[in-house]
Amino acid sequence: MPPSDTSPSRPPSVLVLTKNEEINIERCLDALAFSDDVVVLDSGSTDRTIGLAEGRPNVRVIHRAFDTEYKQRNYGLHDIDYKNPWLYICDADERVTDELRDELLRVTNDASLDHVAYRLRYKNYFMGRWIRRSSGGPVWIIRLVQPEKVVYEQRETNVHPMVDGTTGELDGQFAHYSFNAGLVRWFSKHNFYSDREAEEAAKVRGKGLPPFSDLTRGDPIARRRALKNLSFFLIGRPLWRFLYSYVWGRGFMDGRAGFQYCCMVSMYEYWIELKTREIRARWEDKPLELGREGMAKETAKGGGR
Amino acid sequence: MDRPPRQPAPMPEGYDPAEAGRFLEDGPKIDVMIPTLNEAHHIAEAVANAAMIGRVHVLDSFSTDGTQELAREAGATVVEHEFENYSRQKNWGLNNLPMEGEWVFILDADERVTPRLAEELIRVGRSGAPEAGYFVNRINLMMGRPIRFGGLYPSWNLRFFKRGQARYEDRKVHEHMFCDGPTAHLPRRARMLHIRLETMSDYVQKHVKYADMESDEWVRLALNPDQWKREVEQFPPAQRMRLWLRRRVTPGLPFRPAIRFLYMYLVQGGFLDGRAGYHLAMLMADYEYMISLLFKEKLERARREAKGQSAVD
Repeated sequence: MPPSDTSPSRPPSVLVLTKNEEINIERCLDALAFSDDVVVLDSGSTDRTIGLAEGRPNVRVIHRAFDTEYKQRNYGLHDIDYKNPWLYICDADERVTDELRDELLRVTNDASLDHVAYRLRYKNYFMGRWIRRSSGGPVWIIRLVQPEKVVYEQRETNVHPMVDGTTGELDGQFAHYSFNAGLVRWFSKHNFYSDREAEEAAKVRGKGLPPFSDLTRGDPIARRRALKNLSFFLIGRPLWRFLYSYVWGRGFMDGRAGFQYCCMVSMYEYWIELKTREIRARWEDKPLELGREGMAKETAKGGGR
Repeated sequence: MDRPPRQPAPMPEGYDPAEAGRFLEDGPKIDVMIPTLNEAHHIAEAVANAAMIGRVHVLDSFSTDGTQELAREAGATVVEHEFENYSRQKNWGLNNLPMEGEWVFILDADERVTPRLAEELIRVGRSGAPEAGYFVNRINLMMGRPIRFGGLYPSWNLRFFKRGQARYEDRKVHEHMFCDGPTAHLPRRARMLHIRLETMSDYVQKHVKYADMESDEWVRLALNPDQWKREVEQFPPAQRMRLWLRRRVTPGLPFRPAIRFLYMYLVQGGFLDGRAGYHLAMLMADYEYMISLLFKEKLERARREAKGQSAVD
């Protein structure tokens, strides 16, 4: 059913979370020109991000200090007044393609659809090409929502939205340029993410092995989460992750970019494993204890090799 | 990891702060220099530890956590000086702290002199030996254990020398010490403890930072092949082969990260440190891998920019 004449076509509002995204913000906002209400929710950029975002007629910049990801995202959903009933959520290193834009405009104006949220896929770009297979796709994520029907779960990172209603699927995909800010940024970010994932993994492992039946229950996102929780118990998780994405996921078909990407993700998995070990074996204060022991033992008569 | 900040260390029981202000009775006169920046959690213990061997001077780079006050309470003299880099800071301290002894020992706030090392220093200081400086062994306490293998131990550092006879070379990181006279090594067991409280997150981040700097160097050499000749000619011929291997040959080797892991874990015996040895070798392989990736990325960007193309998307 086409949009009726009585209710003129309304684009979704857009929420963009930023911090120091001067490399990305212009191209990101260029691709969001279809919306009359783009909100940049910035958590303390110290580069040119804000200056580059302001001054566009369809863009507002709102500031909020970052505390945790789910609080930041929930603030973006519930504490900002949007002009439009639908909200598209976007990161600065993502580009809405023309096909996706057309689909967003279509589904948000189609009164025959009664979904309150939509999930979609994305194309990861690395070393100048779409790394279609190595990035383990397709991953479905919820990005188009009616904000009042959705709340983000309380988790350390990689938070998923919980939807009160049905979720539809979009064919269009956005392009994801997570390497624009350079690999140093990717390493630093993944160092940070792996801290959070390790805390999560330590919690999951502390509770003991979850039931395998979780793997077949719930929607794809819940099943993915169950698989992840189980995987925290694997020995040699980084290697398994590499084989999963490079061999089983056919990452080798993405050429050199695919190989490097699979190795990098494996390194990230290794960091999670390392930090999970750090938490579970309580490395934190051991050096202090060992130091005191050493001072007592390493006298002229004894100790030390 | 979001950990609460560590609490300032209390002064050890039975320790008298006056000890840090005087030389040992009947011992050699040793001045200890402790360079600091925000070490409130360690400083009182470090000063009390250093007082075992002599007078203690804290050279602080304007800490904001009260390190200065805690050091004074523990009896050390405290002098503040703006930090530029490690070698310049320590050289400034050697020239400007109110030292009066015959010997100097340099101790970091997270290091401890063991009783055995203290006895050795006192013995050497008394002996009238002709050596101007001594290398001191150090063991890392990290990942829940002392690290004894993987090329990380023994670790010899020139830290004990006759006052006025040693200084650091002018270099940003990994600075070495020059000594005016002959040097010797103290016994391996007379060692310092290195109490490493950094989180694994700090450790990875440090590797990211070093990989960033190292890859810049590789790109610079790759873009200016002539520069290599000029650089290597500064060094004596005996060192050139080694530099050539490290800076020209190894960067091009395939499977560098894997080679590094196997070398550290098997050849250097990292496996004997148990899980910690495995993790240290893995982290080193990651470091090598990051350098390679960053090198490729930066080279590619430099080439695109030279052609006037956009560096992103």
